[in-house]
Amino acid sequence: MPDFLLIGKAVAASAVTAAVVLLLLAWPWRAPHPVRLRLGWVLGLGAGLYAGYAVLDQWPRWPPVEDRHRLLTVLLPLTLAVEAATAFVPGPRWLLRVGLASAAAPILLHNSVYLADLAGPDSREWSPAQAALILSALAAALLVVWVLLALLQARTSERAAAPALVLACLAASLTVMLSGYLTGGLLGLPLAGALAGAALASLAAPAPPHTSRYLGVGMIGLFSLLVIGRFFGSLPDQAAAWLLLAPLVAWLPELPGVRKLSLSQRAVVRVALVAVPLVLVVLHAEKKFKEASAAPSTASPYEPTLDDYKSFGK
Amino acid sequence: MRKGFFGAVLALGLLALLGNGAPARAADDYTLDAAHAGVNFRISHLGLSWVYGRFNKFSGNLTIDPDDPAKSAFALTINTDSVDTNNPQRDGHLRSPDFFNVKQFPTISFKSTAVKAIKDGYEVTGDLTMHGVKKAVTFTLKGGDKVVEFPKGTQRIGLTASLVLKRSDFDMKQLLEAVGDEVHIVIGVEGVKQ
Repeated sequence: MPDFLLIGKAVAASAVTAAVVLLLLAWPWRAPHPVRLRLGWVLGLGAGLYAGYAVLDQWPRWPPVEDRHRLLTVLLPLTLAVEAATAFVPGPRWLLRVGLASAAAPILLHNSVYLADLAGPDSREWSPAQAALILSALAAALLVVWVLLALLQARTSERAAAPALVLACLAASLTVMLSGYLTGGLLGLPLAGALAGAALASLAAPAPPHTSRYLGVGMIGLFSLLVIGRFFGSLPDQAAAWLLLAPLVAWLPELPGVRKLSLSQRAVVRVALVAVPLVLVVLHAEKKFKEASAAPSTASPYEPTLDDYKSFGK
Repeated sequence: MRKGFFGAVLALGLLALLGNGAPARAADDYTLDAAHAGVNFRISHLGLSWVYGRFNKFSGNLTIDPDDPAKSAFALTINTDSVDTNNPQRDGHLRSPDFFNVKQFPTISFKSTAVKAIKDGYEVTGDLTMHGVKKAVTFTLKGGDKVVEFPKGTQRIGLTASLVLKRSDFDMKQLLEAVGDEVHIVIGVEGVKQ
């Protein structure tokens, strides 16, 4: 199993850093300046993310030859830059976000066997037409979930979607790790930590409309985990789909029967409902991981598990 | 007169024999015969014994110049997806991003940059590219001095090499406590003349 103490330190570092930066920029908390509050979200999340990655010894790298390097070095900074730009110029924010969503999968899959002839002529797995279709479908799926969560935010409160995203990022992280891509899955933990830290810190300051900036970072982060888990690890299609769509369960408390509850009651129901599919996905992944780890090899009935290897010598 | 004429012919004949004689041979190009070649490795397991493995898919070319070995050349490309340690779960983990990351780095390639003739073979220096890292390596290639015709009409040549690499030099640093850093590689190839 991964080093839980190290993971705990990384999540704590990202949560505390995100919270502190947001609170500093949101001052005075009683009446925060909208632009500074938006920047506080972006800079808080950015600082929190990279503080967590530093604890995990996961650094941006140039040139970014692997998928997780492209996430840390290109896509996350680009996301933070886009969300920071919308702090000053909120008008074209959705145009920028559509561009970001369209670029996310191509950046992560850049120079991989899916898009490039790395093993000789015509060795790429997707033809140009297939690549265009798949990348468009991925961008569309990301945008649909993103827009629906933004609408939920507009309908209820600025922080309505935050718990759903935190839980989804955490579940995605665990599932990707259990699907055979340990280092990729780890990247989701500081993401969950930073989102949680910033969201909790923002409770200290009122949230005027269109000031929170966690949705973009959270959605791009969640989407990236699922893409690298599916296309570089062994994350099954169904698990990836459930993990991306699970935050939309947060809409259920807006149904007529449940809407009668107070805002805070609906928030609690929202968290509980989103947790259900996420827990099921993680438990299923854990079951598959244990079955694969316990399967005896053809050569030896005494085959150790991956956990045994990770803890050897410690 | 006749004596002088025959003397000149004899002298010319001697000169021809003492001169370079046979014309220079061109370099011979061989394509690797994968059915009679192997790329094998072993790696320490817990410091107790070895895990053995191989790559099942590879291709390559050999150019052997007997007159000027420095003009010889060797190239090999290995499909990382074909890694085989006789354990499907372990092979899946080796293909994952935690090790070879086959979706990002589908091949391991070697291309020689300098060749020097030595006793019983060649000293070969070249660029080995693995897991996105390119490093210069030098090793001894034994053989290459015997050509056999088999089957009829097909000239073939054989070479073997062994070398030790550190996987951490190629950014593969997972499980270094339990699974060795040094990878012992043995390659045996037959080349078929084109």
